[in-house]
Amino acid sequence: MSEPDRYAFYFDSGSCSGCKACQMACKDKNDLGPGILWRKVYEIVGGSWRREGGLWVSGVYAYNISLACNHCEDPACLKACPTKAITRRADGIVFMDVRKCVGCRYCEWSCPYGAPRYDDRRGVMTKCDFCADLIGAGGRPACVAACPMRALDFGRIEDLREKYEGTDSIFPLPVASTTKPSLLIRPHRGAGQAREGQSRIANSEET
Amino acid sequence: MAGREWPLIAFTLLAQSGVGFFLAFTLPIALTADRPGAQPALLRSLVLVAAFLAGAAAFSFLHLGNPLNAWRTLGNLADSWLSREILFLLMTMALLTVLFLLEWAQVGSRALSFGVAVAGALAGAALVLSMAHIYRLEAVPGWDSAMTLFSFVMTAAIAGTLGAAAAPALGLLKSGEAPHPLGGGMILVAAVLITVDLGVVVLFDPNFGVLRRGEVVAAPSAGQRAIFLLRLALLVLAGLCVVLALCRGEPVVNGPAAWATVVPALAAGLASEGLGRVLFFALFRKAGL
Repeated sequence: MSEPDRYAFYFDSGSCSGCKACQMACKDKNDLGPGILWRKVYEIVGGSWRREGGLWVSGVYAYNISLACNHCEDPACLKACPTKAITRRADGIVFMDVRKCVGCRYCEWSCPYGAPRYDDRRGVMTKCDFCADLIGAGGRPACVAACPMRALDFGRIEDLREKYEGTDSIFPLPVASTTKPSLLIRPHRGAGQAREGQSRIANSEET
Repeated sequence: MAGREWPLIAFTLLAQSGVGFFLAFTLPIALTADRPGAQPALLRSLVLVAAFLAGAAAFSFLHLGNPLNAWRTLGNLADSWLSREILFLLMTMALLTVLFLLEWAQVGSRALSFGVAVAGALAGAALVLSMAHIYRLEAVPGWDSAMTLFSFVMTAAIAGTLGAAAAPALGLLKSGEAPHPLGGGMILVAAVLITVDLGVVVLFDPNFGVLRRGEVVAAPSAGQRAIFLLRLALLVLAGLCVVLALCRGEPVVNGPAAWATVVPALAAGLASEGLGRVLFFALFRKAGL
């Protein structure tokens, strides 16, 4: 496995209650303005009832995905950025230097996870920095620390893979081979039924 | 389509039209500029192309949130097609400026002017290709197809050839000056290009083409359907005007005949390409999240 020491997020979709404490902790810690979310909780819904003989059986499912920047091994945003405002540290953290950003929003187009967010007030792109200051001081990212369900964790990707079982691509996330996200997700049991055209993001306006 | 895309529509249309006109009209004159009476048209057309490229550059600033950092955009030539696009835009503008100065001041050898003109043409072509590459994003399936390159190249080609055909009527090539080396050949080339564009758009337009890839594109609105039909109608109008010009059998169409044929063809062709670009940006829809 390449770059076993890079930092990654773990997310347990089966345990997530969708409370969005992670989202709010991130906004609070990074002082993000209205409309800017570095971590977003997507609510995926789908399915329907089906008749089996005299019974109506539920095939309805709903699950949450808490997602920030995945600090990809092959970040599309970094390749797109014309000013080299986006760099990748040796520990895998993809870092945005807003002082160099020209505000062209090309990274926003390129990222399949919608991670870079535009700050209207400053005219620059912003994104999750993995709370590098906190983990540098031995702490945890704000989102991980805030989760009441312990659905979020972080660490070196190889350590997370030893600790948890999971995948790096569930619906509606794009194919992981595109950017190689530093992400491990334990899927909700409903995720196996989710399909393009039959499932949808219920809170797309919010995210 | 978000309002912030209008500067990009103007930028791409102006830059591609400028490059197309340079390749179709200015370059042949520049390569044969030793003919008596060739220089005035060369200088006039270089000014026009420079105006198009300068206008494009000005519009490009309007979509930046932090234009003070624009000087940094050449910083990622190794990876970013956006950096390469800016490089080729600056190279084209610089080379055309040098060509203008060489011809205006009558300095340098003919070989030098020839080389600068060819280099400017290559930089311009690279500009159009790099523009198309910018939009080939896996995260935006509606743009990630060969149609993006086709539409950008066709905008340059149609604007260039129709502009070259209408140039005498628009005062870019005056009577008494050396005739254009290609004569009225650009009218025939324009007719072919319009026919190809019409056929490909009808067959392969991502939203409305008969053989479209509809599964990756957002459902079009009624307004977009109307714009598409208007685009086709304008392209057909441009084609009919060009056919009328061809039917005259004259090598160069000028005067009142031009204002009834090639000039309206240029206007209709440019308007059609503009509407096509509006529809192109309306294809924006991220895959995944």
